[in-house]
Amino acid sequence: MRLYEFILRRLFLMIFVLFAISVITFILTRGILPPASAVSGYLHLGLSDTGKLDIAQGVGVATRSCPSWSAFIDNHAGCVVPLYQQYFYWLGDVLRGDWGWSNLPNDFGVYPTLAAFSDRFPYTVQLAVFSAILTLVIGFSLGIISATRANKLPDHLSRLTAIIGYSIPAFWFGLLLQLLVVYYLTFNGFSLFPVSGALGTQCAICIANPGTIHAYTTIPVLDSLLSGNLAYLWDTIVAMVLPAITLSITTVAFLSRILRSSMVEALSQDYITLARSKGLRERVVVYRHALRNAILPAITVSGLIFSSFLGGVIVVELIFNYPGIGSVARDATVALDVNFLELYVLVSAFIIVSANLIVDILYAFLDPRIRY
Amino acid sequence: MTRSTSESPGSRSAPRQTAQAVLEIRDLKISFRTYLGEVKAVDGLNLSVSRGEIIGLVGESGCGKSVTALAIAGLLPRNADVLSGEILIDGKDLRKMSKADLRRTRLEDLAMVFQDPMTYLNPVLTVGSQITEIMLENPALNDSASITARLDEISKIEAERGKTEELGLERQILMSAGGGKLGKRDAKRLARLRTLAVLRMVRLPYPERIFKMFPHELSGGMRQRAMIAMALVRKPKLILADEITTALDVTVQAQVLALLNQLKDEIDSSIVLITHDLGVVAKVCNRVAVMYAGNIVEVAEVKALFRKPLHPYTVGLLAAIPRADVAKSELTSIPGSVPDLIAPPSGCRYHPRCPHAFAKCSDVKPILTEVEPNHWVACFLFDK
Amino acid sequence: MAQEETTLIQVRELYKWFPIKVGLLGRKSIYVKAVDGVSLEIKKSETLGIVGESGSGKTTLGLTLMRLVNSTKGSIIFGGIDITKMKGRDLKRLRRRMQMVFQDPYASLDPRQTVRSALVEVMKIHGSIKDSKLASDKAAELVNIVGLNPDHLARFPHELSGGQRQRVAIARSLVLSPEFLLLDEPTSSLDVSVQAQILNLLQRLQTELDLTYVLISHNLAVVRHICHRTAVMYLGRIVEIGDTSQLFENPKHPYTFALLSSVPIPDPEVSQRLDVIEGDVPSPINLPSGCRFRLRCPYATDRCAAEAPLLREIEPGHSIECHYDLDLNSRPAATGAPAEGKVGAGPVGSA
Ligand SMILES: Nc1ncnc2c1ncn2[C@@H]1O[C@H](COP(=O)(O)OP(=O)(O)OP(=O)(O)O)[C@@H](O)[C@H]1O
Ligand SMILES: Nc1ncnc2c1ncn2[C@@H]1O[C@H](COP(=O)(O)OP(=O)(O)OP(=O)(O)O)[C@@H](O)[C@H]1O
Ligand code: SF4
Ligand SMILES: [Mg+2]
Ligand SMILES: [Mg+2]
Repeated sequence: MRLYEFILRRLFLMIFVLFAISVITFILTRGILPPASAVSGYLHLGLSDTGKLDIAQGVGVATRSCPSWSAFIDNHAGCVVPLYQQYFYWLGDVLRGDWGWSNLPNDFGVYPTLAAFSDRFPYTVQLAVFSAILTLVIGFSLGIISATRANKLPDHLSRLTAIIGYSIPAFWFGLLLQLLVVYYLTFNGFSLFPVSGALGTQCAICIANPGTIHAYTTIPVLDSLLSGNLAYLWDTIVAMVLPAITLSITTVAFLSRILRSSMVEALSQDYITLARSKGLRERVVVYRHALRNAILPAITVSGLIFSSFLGGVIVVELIFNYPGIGSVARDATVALDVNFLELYVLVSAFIIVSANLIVDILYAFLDPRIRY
Repeated sequence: MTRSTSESPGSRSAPRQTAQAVLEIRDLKISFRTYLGEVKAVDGLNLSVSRGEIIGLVGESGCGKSVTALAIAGLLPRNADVLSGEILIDGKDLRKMSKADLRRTRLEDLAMVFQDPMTYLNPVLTVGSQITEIMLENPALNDSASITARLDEISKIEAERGKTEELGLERQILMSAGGGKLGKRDAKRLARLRTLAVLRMVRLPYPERIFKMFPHELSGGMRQRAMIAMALVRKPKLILADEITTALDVTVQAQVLALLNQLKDEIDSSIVLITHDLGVVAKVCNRVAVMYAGNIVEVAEVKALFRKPLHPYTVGLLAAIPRADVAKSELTSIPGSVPDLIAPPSGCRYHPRCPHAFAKCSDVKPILTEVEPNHWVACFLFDK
Repeated sequence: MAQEETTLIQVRELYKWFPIKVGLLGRKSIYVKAVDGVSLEIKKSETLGIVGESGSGKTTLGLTLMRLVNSTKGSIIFGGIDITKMKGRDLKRLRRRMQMVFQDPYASLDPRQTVRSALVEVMKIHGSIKDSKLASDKAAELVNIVGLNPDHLARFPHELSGGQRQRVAIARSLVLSPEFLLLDEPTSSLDVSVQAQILNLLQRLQTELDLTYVLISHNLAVVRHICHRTAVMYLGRIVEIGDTSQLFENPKHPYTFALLSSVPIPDPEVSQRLDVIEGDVPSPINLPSGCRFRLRCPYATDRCAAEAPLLREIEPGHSIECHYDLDLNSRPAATGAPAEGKVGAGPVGSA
């Protein structure tokens, strides 16, 4: 099978995966919650019961024959549209690009789900990417150092770091970092890093008035670059430092351990003996010969790591008051916002499946023996 | 090229201690630290290899052949201890060298070829890049002195055998250095050119295609040829070939052996050919050293050894192997099995299996002595 | 006793194809033709050697004979009965009559079992001897037969040397007094000095116990030494079969000739041309048309590409699978590089 066939097949399968996930989410939300929760996003004070019923009928939850709003609330026979019909109604809307309305508390009264999502999502994207880079850089370095000096001091230190990283809960670690920065790492009354928000203007190394940027992509890091506002870029990055460290602490531990073991394994292979017998410098032996092979298992877990950010981000965004999608998702769960949760779960699933696909494609490129 | 193998070194403590020995091992002792105890893998080994010869190192599994080879290349695993001995390459003791010099020696003078061409080639790098990296690693190949030397050599070859496209191209690349060093791109082009030449030398078909292939895309025999090419590209003084045909099918093994026989005349390197197959020794080697349980027990010219083996172990071994060309009515077997090297037998390590053993054998260790010209044996039966 | 040659096993047109899945959803099946139409006869009390290069199907043929692997097509007659479709109790009873010795004695023995319990277990499983005392005596007798001491009975496999382990494996195969032993590379993991002990033992046991052997090996010297008849396999088929001395002294199939010339003779005075054929054994998945040896055969003609030769008798008891009666000793020299198509025909077929 050729690589493109493999990719096509995986993309094809992805449609089914997303479909199944949307069904499951639908059952878990609308199937379990009272029918009225599907409508709550559309309701506002001062709406009459007939108006409410109209809306419920409009989004395909209440039947046309339902006599009154109270009958709908009380789940009278024949008043609530069967779940599978609700699903197809919802699916039809979604396929037309209409994700419905969100019931999240907001300033505008009415709030489309898609807008609620896309206001915040770019922040999470940049935080996740930043954390991923941090994880890869630190995780790989620690792993390689450990493996090449196996059972020596650097290895022990890195093992200790990893154990700490595994065992410390992220929320506690985040709070600890905040305390540390606020109480101990202060300069002229300013903490070294900002401890909340997505734009650090109040810290020792922050730039106080970064100005504004134009929203080309809605992702602040990219937009500040495109707008040529480096001060803004700096402040954005500085604000991500602590959340990203908190987010990466477990994944760094995980990645460095995986890399260490695959690196130790690779370094004991016969081809390393041959490489050494060729008189290559140790650096070439380690990076060109061992790392190329050891990287393969690490790549596999990198996909998982990236996916794990999606869960971790909820806690971290709360602690650091970071305006990403995680905190909204939490609010949506509390507010039983069915439409938002559907969107959130599907996008998450899409990211996870794509991350795995990219991992597999990378794998095929890096390992010539694998041909799908 | 000198491949004279008849000069008599006189009676000295080690065989063939001649001035031009490429490799000289004196009293090498190696042991391994293991949970079960100390494995005395090599026990006072002496060996000398002269320029251009192919010497076979034969012996049964576990007798210390690979350990000896790894010790020569300085690649012993961490739990190995070299207890004593000297390993001289061109008169320089490897054990006294700094790490950097040792690496340098491996890069230029000493090459290893291993048994299993699948596990010893890096699966994720192309065959070509695994060969060119050796040349790119060696700055001496690109400095002005060696460029001038090579240019002279090319002119000489062209004068003798006529011009070829390949030589022309090489000259063109070398000239582009303009008296100084080669640029990075030109060094790469040169390395590629020489790699293709060496792939051709080991009779691989379509070197350009093989250059770009990965090890798993080659058959076993082709992989082994690639590994031999890797050794030859350095024009090393010494090649250590450890069981290079053992993993191959008979017909493919025969092809590789034939290749070795052809290469003999094309290269200047000496080869230590490690094998447990006396047939292989008989077909390609000039001399042979027989190992038993960490010692060399007999060294002789190949013909002399097969015609008139002296050591009881060699005699037993030759009688025990069946032959495909003639029917042997009966195989004489050697009783017992190879000893455990954690607690090896005292005195001559062969004495528990030896039909001729007498009292002294279990007390004193016999040393290699030249009992006939160029025929060395470590056995008290030949004590004069 | 009259030197009457009775047939113990008769194999007719035996096939074993292993399917491997390929394609977008793994639906297309292609086959590894490990055994591809083998017919042969094993006579009582003889040793038949099967030689061939790695992957030629020797082990698969052996396993199929033993009914350890089910054949795809063809029949195996053992002692007059067709065993190809045998099942259940009949099969179990058949297993007692045919036993197998594997290459690696370490892998085939349970490391947590002493020699005695390994032997007694076989008797218990097959219910041949139920009394423990008798079983123990039988074990001691067997150990003695294969040249070990009774004190080896209490040892574990790791306390034995390679040769001793192989002796135990042989003893275990003899527990049920079989008529037929399949020996798959019984000495290739052993040292040469120990190999001779095992070969001598096998020869002694054959006469003492009137056993029939099939000996699988890629070591032609071993086969020459111990086998009465020899079959040469190439890519799943027998290309030459005959009396060992006939076949080794006067090979008639070009592959046999090449195989024999490839074995380095341990005698520097015998001059030998080693590289008589080029290339490697192709994969048994995409077989060439016509004669499967033709891509490596120095005598191949158009007829070889068009038409597959069939096994034919060229002298009594000596058959080859080749269209021609060639004079192999005046053969053409091997030519330069192999054909384009052979480059990269590695063992791992990339998609
Ligand atoms: N890393 C190791 N740790 C402990 N013992 C070792 C190690 N490597 C080798 N040995 C022991 O050293 C002895 C010599 O081993 P060596 O590999 O040199 O044998 P060999 O002659 O090459 O055998 P073979 O023909 O099987 O390759 C053996 O007894 C072996 O068990
Ligand atoms: N279970 C299996 N599934 C798929 N292919 C198989 C299986 N068993 C064997 N084969 C293939 O069948 C062919 C013959 O294998 P077999 O083990 O019989 O060869 P052999 O002659 O015994 O080789 P060797 O000398 O290496 O033991 C090989 O190409 C092998 O890859
Ligand atoms: S020294 Fe003694 S034991 Fe050793 S081989 Fe010679 S005779 Fe045999
Ligand atoms: Mg070895
Ligand atoms: Mg087999």
